[in-house]
Amino acid sequence: MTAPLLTMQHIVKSFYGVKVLDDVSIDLFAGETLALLGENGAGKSTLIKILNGDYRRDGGEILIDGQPVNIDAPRDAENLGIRMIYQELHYAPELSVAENLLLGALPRRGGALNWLIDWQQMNRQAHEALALLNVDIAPTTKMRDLSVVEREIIEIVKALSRQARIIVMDEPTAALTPPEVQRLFGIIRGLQARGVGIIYISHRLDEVFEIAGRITVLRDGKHVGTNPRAEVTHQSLVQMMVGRSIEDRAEVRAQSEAITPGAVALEVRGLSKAGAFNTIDLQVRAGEIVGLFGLLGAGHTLLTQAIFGAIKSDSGTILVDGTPARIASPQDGQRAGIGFVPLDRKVNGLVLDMSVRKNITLSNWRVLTRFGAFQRGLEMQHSRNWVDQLGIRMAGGIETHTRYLSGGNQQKVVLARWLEANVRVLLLNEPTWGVDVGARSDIYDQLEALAAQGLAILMVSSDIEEVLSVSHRILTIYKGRLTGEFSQSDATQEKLLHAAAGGQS
Amino acid sequence: MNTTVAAERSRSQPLRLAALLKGERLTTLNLFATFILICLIFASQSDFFLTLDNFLNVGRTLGVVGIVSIGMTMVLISGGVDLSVGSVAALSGVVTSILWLQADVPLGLATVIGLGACVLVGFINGFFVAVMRINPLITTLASFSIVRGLAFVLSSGQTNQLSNPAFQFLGRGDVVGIPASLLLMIALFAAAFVVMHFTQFGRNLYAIGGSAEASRLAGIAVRRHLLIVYTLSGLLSGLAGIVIASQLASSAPRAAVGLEFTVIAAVVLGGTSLSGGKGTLIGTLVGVFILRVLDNGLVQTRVSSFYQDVVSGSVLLLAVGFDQIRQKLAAAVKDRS
Amino acid sequence: MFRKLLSIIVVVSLVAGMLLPLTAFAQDNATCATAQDSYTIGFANLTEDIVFTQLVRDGILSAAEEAGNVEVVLADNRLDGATALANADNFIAQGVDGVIEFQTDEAFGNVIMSRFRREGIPVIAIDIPMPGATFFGADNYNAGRLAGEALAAWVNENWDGDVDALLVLELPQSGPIPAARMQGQIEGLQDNLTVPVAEDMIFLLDSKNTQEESFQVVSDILPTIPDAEHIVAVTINDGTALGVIAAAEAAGRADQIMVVGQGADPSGQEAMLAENSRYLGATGYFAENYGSYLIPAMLDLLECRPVPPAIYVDHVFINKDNLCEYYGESWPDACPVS
Repeated sequence: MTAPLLTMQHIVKSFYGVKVLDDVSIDLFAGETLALLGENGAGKSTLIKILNGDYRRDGGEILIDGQPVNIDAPRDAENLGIRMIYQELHYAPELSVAENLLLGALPRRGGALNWLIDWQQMNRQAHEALALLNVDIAPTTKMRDLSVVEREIIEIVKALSRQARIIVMDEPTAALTPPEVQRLFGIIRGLQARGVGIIYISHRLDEVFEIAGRITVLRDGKHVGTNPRAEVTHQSLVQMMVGRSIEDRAEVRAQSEAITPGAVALEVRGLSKAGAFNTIDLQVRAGEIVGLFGLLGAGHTLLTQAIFGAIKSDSGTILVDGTPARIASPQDGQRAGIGFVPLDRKVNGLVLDMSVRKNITLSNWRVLTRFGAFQRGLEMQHSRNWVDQLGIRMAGGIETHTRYLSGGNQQKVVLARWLEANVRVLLLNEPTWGVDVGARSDIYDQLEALAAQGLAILMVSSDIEEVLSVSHRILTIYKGRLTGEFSQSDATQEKLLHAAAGGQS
Repeated sequence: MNTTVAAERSRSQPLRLAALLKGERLTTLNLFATFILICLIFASQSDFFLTLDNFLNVGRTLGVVGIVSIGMTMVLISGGVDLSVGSVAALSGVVTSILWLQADVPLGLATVIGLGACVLVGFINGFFVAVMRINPLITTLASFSIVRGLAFVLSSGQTNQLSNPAFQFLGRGDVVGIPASLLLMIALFAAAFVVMHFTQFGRNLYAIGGSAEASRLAGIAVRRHLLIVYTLSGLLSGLAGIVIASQLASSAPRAAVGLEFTVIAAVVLGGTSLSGGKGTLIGTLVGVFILRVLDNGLVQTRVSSFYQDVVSGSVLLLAVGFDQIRQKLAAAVKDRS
Repeated sequence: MFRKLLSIIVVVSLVAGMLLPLTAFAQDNATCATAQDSYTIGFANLTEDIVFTQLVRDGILSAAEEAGNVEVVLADNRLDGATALANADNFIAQGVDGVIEFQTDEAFGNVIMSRFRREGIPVIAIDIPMPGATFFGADNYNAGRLAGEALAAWVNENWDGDVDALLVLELPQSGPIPAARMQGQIEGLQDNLTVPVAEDMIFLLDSKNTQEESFQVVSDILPTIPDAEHIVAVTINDGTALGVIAAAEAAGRADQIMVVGQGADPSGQEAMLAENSRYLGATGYFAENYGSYLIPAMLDLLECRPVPPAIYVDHVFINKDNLCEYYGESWPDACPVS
């Protein structure tokens, strides 16, 4: 057997005396996809940054084709054919695909005109690069006109066209819909066929099972194990990651079964917005979690925004606890007793450079102030209460800025804010995007507990497993219209996908 | 289980370091140390720097920049900027003097109307920023120019004498030996401090500056807050204009030219971020003191005025640059955990 | 003898040859290329924003009306060279006969002048010289001297010639013209004081041309001269002078200071009249009289009469005693009751 393409042996790394990587070894073969799993803080990104030369390792060695190499700076990694595809892509949106692909090395004309760009040559080179992976995107398209997955693919093509031998992808599917994920996987298989080794980081286990040949799990900076896909199960992987076993939620639910929803807390009648959704009727009862499932752009996100007042609807009525509410702004929504957890919590959900305490009390303060001034003690008491109740974990205490919290804890801060504001109805958008497995299950527990206390929850999600395991009732939406309603017991993946794709149930 | 706890604990160490490094208290402390250092240097160079006379003088000449910088701090924290402050300050003096001298309006009422005009300008600034959603830089650059023009039109470019003992009290008078304008400034700082740190309004301004969209989706009436904060900035600028007119016993359409730069410099020096969401009034207060004392000391040590500009600019760059480096360091520490 | 006679004849004929055409031009309008029955004169003002230039404009307009055969076309240079150039082009396009330029940018002076020269349009430049143009304006050094001398006379009379400190509120960034005014004031004072002020008690302070800045720097400097009981200040203009007085008043030292200035504009005049005023007076620049120099001079140029290359304003030191004489209409209170 030939030497592995890449070997990282006994890698050790500490920051300020804290070991973040403790004797971690991985290897990667040409034409293979190796999945790297672990909760946030497990050491995945540190390992990758060492490979890319962003950090220097304290101990251990890196070999390429069996030869020890020195990677002290990103430039070294680049010379060795190592490429990173980050979650947040950097590209010039107003330039064409071809220009972005060849940026920094644009072909010039010959002769006296060599200061001019040779556009024909550039487009031809770009076309060739795209053809290597059978990508069907015109080189002259502007980057901003591409979808997220297409931009990622361009990034991959760019890496390949610059002699990449090892490509590291960090959560490449975080913002992709299921069909887009499949398109990306097609590209990855193309890379494998060309002998490129791929390190694939993801939180989504089903994807990992689909694309990875072997799976490495890290926990608390230690290497827990590397196994061929065939030798692990969903559950065993989760157990390896979190170090304890997490029961299958759906099974637990099936056993308990005893939810008895109360009165209708949120009712929407004939809500319409041109180009977004059309005559939507729905009800959510107190104590009930209703899942709203649809493909990207089906209108579910806009629907929740309209119910909350973040965007204006054209017609329709909204009733909270049976009383019609005039909702034209988020303040109206909040006053009516509705809380809203937006899609992108980092941009829209939290004030990142504000402390956990202040974020929690942002929406409700009347009870915390006397004569207009904050009662600091009371505020502290309330926010601590939510931190304890929801299990929000942060290293620097309650004054830590939310920027420094993990995804799951950030999401809990957003939840805590609405609970502090004493809402009756909670609208959630993709509550576990970018949240790791352990924290995900934690958030589900919290949602169930909140529902049990009588909160009405409407949850928008494009993660079908999430919808199936958390919701008491599921609605599907397609092109702005509700296309199906399922109780938890009769919903299946097939039925939901069928309804969400426009098929009548 | 034990190992998890241990890891949790050990992981938190760099975080504490990061929290310490990026603390706003440290910014203010550094600043205060800078202030003391500057004072010590001047004290060693000039026999008169540490005299009571000079303290009173510094106090008396601090008010204008100080008062305006309160409003500017709030505007910057909310994520905006107000370039019109100097022009608005000129407007209040001009309107007051025109009404008093040419329309025989009693001086007290004339002053109130002068301030009212500034409130109106602030409100219009706020309207364009908050409701029309025009970039604050552009909005207030426009009003900077319009209002200055109005001041010239209203006064026909004339400087008017405003000699009236009651009116001059604000700029020149003392209350138990302390300059009245200094007292006014301190009272306003105290009030603003309470608003910014103990009321929801202040808290919301930080939130809006941190992320306007997140604040909106948290149910904060973003537009109303911005409207108020620009109006307030207009009022405070107008008040500063009255202090100027009172000090000089005259009103000129050219008054307070370039005030916006001094004020923004003081506020930024005090640790307020130009990108919003961050800053303290205490920091601003120290920033105002530093710039004033710097000018005062350089004049007293008879340094050429050209060098004075060089020194003020350098202090600003050094202080802010140093703070940036410190925060980068904090972020780097945090990043690696 | 013959040689002597010959040389006399040569000289006489040369002189006659030179004088003949001159007298012919002067006497006969028909041979003067630019002479006409009536004229259009362009006036590009420095800016329309300040009192001084507004007075200049009004003076020119009323002098033109008085002349009867002059129409004035106005433009505003907005303190900007490029605007001045555009205005110059505009004047040429409108076919003006002569131009009075009041513009600030020496760099643009050349360009503007080359346009006018090409068109054969005579130009008078106000206050800031332009190459090839007749200069008209303030005699800055001597204007300054007048104020300095007046201040010295006051000190000699009231303080026995004793001065502890001299504050100089200058404007260093604006070049030679304000510098000449300041130098005139300082030398006028020092040359006439019984005991000149010691070099180390002369404080050069940057007024930045604003009342507030002057207030600020004087406020800063006063604590460093706590023992000075006789302080005098010379200033770049009325506004700075008022700033100095305000600072002294605010520091409770008004009775220790006496100030002179330059300009004598209405705000300065008002201050001189105040009871127990610390503003001794200011050299008058008489902006409102500029027109009565400028329009006749321009007509001389256009009708080919000889005009000196530089014309200066007759400056007078204005104080509360002669205010009635020069500005009696504005200040009836200043006039003795008769």
